Amino acid sequence: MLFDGETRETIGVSSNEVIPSLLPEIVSDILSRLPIEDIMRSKTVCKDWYALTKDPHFINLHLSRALCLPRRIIVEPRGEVPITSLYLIETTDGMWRGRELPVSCAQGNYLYTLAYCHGLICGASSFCKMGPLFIYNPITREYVELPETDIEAEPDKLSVSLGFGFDSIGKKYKVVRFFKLYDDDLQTHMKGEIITLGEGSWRGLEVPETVICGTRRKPVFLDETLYWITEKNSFLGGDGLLAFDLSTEKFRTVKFPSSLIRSINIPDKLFLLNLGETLFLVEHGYRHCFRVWRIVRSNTKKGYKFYESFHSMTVTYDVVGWSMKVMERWIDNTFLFHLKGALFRSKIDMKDHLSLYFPEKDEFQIVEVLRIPEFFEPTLFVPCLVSPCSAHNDGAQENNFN
Amino acid sequence: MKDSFNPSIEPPKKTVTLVSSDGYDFEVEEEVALESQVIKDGFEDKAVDDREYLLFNVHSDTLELIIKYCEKHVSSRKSISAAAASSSSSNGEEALKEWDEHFISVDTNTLYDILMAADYLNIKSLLDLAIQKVADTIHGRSPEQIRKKFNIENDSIIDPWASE
Repeated sequence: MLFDGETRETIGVSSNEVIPSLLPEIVSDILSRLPIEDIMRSKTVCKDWYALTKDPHFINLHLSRALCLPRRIIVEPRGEVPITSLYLIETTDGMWRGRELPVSCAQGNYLYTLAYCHGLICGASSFCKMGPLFIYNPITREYVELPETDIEAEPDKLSVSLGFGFDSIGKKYKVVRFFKLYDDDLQTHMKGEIITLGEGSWRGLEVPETVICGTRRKPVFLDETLYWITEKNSFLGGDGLLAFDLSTEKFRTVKFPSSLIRSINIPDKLFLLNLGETLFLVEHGYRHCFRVWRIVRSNTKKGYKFYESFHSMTVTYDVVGWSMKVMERWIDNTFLFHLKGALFRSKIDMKDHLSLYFPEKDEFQIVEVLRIPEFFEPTLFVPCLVSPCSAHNDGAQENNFN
Repeated sequence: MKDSFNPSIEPPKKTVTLVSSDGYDFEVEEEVALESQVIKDGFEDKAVDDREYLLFNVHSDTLELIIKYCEKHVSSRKSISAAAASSSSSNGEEALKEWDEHFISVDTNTLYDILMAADYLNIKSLLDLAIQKVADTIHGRSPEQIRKKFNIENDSIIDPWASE
């Protein structure tokens, strides 16, 4: 009687309107377990379900579940200005496919993404390094513009670093921006500022260390904290970490072990990354080698430990050249790579790719991704419905159903 | 349909009577009934000879399934902790998961009856199982298929993924 499919009849309860008669909490619980694609589709099922996707309680429930799942890959076209679409990669039945997310943001002037936190993007709407920023949700296409900076400097004599994170104690998103200013003797000094989403202006920050800036090497947000690589001399690479606690807004510095500093071969290829919610330092070597240091905060939260591993990959593709960068490491230790400008002997066109590396099997595999641009910049993120407009509020009170 | 044979050396177990919405009596062991948080909450206040619960919202067909689920979970918990105590290897958790999966593979109407009963009786693990099953059923379906499957009236006017 139990497993005979659709033949059983219900007695007593009418089968009509079964879902609407469920308590809203249950419908909310059901939908919050679904991937964003299902939620966006289910918005059109009925008015109640549509209203649910605007409900802060549901949005938070969905986000808390989504944060426990592997992050998703989103790509933006590389070398295309302004950006008119982003692409969220779906993986079903072993197929990787991009879903186009048209961008409608900042008067159509979406130039590039600077940082991600959860499902929100911090992007630039101007080429000026001192220019205004906006916070954008590519799923709901809502955005807010951040106030302009009060810091005065010459934009062509500086580099910028932008951190975007979430203070889960204050339940607020915060953006931290560093300017590294070069004077005429090529001496540098740092200026910093911070803004909590919803605030009307930036607040100044005393930055205690010189850190690596620029859009190529970005800070990492993990466990309430933003991390940068500190540098004593830009030719020697990094010598430690600068950590900024987003709830206390205090800095801490962590020195790399001296053996680690000595062993860095290519300072320019040293990256700090969040790989599968763990902090990693990655050095890309020549040929198909890379080294990673897993950085683990000790229980006392004061010290950090560095666990090194070296990987030399066997690559069987007839590759002429590419620039490879680690993007993510999944729970089964698989690494995800971005292969920039890959050129093969058997093909004429140069193109970007994603690839996977399985260290246990020493297997390197290029993944075919359908419906994404030929040249792209990938990032890992957590698609959600959080509104950049209400992200600075606690959520619960602001219950607008539009 | 007993899943395990437990030689009883204890005195006869105390029982509770559950009465379904259509008037059927189900006599179940106390610990099985206590899987329901609602029954558990008021349990101590009730006199021993008055342990009868009228479940106005649960039809006998559904109640039968609910009892089956609770019995299985009570007995599995015992055998898992017994295996742990004797440090013998056991795949009890795995087997129970499989049993749950099989148990919840029912048609949509039955699934809703179980879901609503689990909510009404506040049986958390069963509610979670049923909710996950409904979510799995919705996954990958078009709005039209979802409406059809769950008998929802289309009162919607918007189309958020314009490209679909």
